[in-house]
Amino acid sequence: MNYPIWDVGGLGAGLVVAIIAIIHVLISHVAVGGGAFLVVAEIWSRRQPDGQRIRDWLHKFATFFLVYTTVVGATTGVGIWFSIQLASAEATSLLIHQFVFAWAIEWVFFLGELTVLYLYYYGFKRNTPRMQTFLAGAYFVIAWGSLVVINGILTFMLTPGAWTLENKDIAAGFFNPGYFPALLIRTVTMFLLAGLAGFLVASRIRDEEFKARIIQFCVKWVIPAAILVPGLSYWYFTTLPASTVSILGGGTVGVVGGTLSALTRMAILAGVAGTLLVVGTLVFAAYPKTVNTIAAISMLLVAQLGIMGAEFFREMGRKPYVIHGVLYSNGLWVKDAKDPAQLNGSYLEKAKWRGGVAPRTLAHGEQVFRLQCASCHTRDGYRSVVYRTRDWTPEFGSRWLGTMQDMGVMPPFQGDALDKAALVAYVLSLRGETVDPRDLVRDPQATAERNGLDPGGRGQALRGLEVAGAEVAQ
Amino acid sequence: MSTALAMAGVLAAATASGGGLPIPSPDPLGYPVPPILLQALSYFTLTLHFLAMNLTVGSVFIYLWLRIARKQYDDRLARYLRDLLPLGTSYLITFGIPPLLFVQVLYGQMFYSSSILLGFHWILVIPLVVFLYGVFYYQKLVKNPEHPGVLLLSVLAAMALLGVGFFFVNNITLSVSPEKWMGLYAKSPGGRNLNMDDPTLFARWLLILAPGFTVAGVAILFRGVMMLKWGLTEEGRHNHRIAVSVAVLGMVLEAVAGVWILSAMPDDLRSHVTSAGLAKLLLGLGTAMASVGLVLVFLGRYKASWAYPLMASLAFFLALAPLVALRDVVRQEQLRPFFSLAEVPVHTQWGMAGLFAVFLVAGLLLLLALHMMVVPGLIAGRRAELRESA
Repeated sequence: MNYPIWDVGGLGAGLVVAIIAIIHVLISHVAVGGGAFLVVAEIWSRRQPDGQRIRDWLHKFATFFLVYTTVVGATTGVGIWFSIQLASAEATSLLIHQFVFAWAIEWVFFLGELTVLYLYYYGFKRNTPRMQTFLAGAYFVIAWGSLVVINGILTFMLTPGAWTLENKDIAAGFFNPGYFPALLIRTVTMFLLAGLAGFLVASRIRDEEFKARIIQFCVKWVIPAAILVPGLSYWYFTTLPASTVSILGGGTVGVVGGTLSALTRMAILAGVAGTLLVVGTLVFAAYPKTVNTIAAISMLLVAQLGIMGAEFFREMGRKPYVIHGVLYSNGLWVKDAKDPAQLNGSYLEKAKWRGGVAPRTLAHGEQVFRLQCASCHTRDGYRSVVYRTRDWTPEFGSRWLGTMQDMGVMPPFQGDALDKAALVAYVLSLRGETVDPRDLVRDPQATAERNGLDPGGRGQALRGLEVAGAEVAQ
Repeated sequence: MSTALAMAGVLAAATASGGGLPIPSPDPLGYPVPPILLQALSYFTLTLHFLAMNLTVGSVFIYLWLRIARKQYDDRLARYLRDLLPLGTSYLITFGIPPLLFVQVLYGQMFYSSSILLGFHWILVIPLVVFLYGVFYYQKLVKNPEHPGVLLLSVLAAMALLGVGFFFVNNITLSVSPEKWMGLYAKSPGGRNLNMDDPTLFARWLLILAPGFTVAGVAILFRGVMMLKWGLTEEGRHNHRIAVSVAVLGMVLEAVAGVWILSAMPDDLRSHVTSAGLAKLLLGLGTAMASVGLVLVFLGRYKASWAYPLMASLAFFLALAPLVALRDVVRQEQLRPFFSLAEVPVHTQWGMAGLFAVFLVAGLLLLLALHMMVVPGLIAGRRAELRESA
């Protein structure tokens, strides 16, 4: 364990990343799709008899677009970067070292995107219509270029393909199996979101006839994406590693509990969100004059819900890794986990951030919890350990820690029997039980046999596990 | 329970014997190009970031002062600065990205550790930036920016800007102090720490903020030249008087910060900076170019010539760049007992580095061409507006 773990109480570092990311993803896609929207709207306005009126509305859209995408979009983009350093420094370091120049190229696109947007916005009343159309087009191409680059790094984490720590093959990692389907999904989604942002700005128009025309223009941006996304999502799904597909179909306890599979949850969420968007857009198309701000915001919130589902789905699918097959979520390298001496030796002795705690104490257990568990679990908040271990006995906990990796969603435990005992004692202490860690390491074999259990922990039906209803592999 | 355990951790950490400092190993992937290239890229982009940050910091405080002073022409200059604020913030964020990227490549194991130890305050930077950036747009777009509520928001945004700078200085100073890490982690694993006992903390904070007045002064000098060229002589002279005053103020504060930081440094580090060698050369170069910049601002007073503000801008860039490099030289000296750049293997990615260079040059050329096509029209329009309102 190289880095300290940011121990964020009941929230959890992962949820901090998720909150920032979910906000950013919607806005960043609006930022790209909005560019195409501006180009088409510029051209459309020139072909209409009341083009100036449309351009006046477009100026309002551009103001909203500029403020929304720069203030919230750009800043939360940096925020994701800040938060991933805190939540998973080891993985961030790997990504930065492997893809630093890809990131630097994305920054060039970002610099261009921002500057061209300013030239477009500040020149709205001075530039010729032809120049405005050109600037909007340049903005869209550059903004989409930034998506083309960042998509390689994002998809690498779940589907690194032929990249390995040894070959460091940047092309294989960047153009990984998930790259193209994810790029297409993001591209069509950004058109949809641009249309939804258009609804919001159009909803403020007072002249109902004019509002109806703008709403009809925005409708055309939403429908194609709503049709294409399911097919592209299936393509993306086919590129996922087999272990990920297995996890997603295996039934996972998520934010709201229950035992539906992640795949089922996502399918329901996507279905509900997609249907609401399509139905909502058709209603807007049929009754464009009645579109109001609340309805338009509701549509954006539904899209936000769909994005949230997609983000959680992807994060779920990546378990137990943060970079699939390379690095576990808690900073353990897969290569180290394959070395029994590394994996089963005393954790406390080799943990850099142990803080000199005495072995076989609750403080020892807390250190193990913090350094091995707290990157994904909180004590009694989000992904609560207290909840997940509600049925644990001390003996059961010690045995379960030795086999938890067999479920597929948990990394292997690092450490020896003392570390396990200390962790179990600490976890049980969170619900008020007092267990002396020393009692758990005296004779685990005898304890297990006395309770009629396999000391290796195999073959036991386990309650309260991350994967509901699963059994430890035989 | 958790407080008791944390206290136990503090005590245990304090009494731990024989354990080394918890310094993470460098990333196994190594550097993608020789570190000197990453350092050069970092210095260049960090200098741009500091200039944009200084422009924003200086502009917001001068804007607030002008809103209170309200002498003749103050309102129009205040509007100019108010309009600069969202742009300045955009570019301070944008130019802040590459140095943050390169520092993570070069010193990631130090930087990530300190960021986590300050985690709460570090992540607080994001909502603070959203807030201040939003306020800067709001005060530009709102119908009545004179409303006291808007002024209050502007004051809060200025405070937020100072807060962001303070958290950055905390992080940078803590990243070179690994001897404090374990104690801070035991004290607050959730990152509610600050590096308050660093004797150079406040001096460094002042050091990065003080040039804000000078850089904003150059921006005001530009406006003054524009006014003089457009025949708005009184307004141009008014602008130039303010430009010189704030530029001098910034330099005086910077000198105070410089002396303060040198006196607060440990003796061995101070002697490293002030004795003969690269550090002294960089310090001398930075000081000399800053002095040249200030002289150019003074000479450009009341002159309708772009040459002075342009040359002053160049001089301040050339003053800041060596000081940015000096900052890194000091960091390497502070880290010498724990880590050296030479220890990290280099696994070159020349293809990617070349691709980045191509994109950078092409991107900058495109932006330059677009500016040449668009900006003259914008300036002409602004001129017409100002003449009308004058």
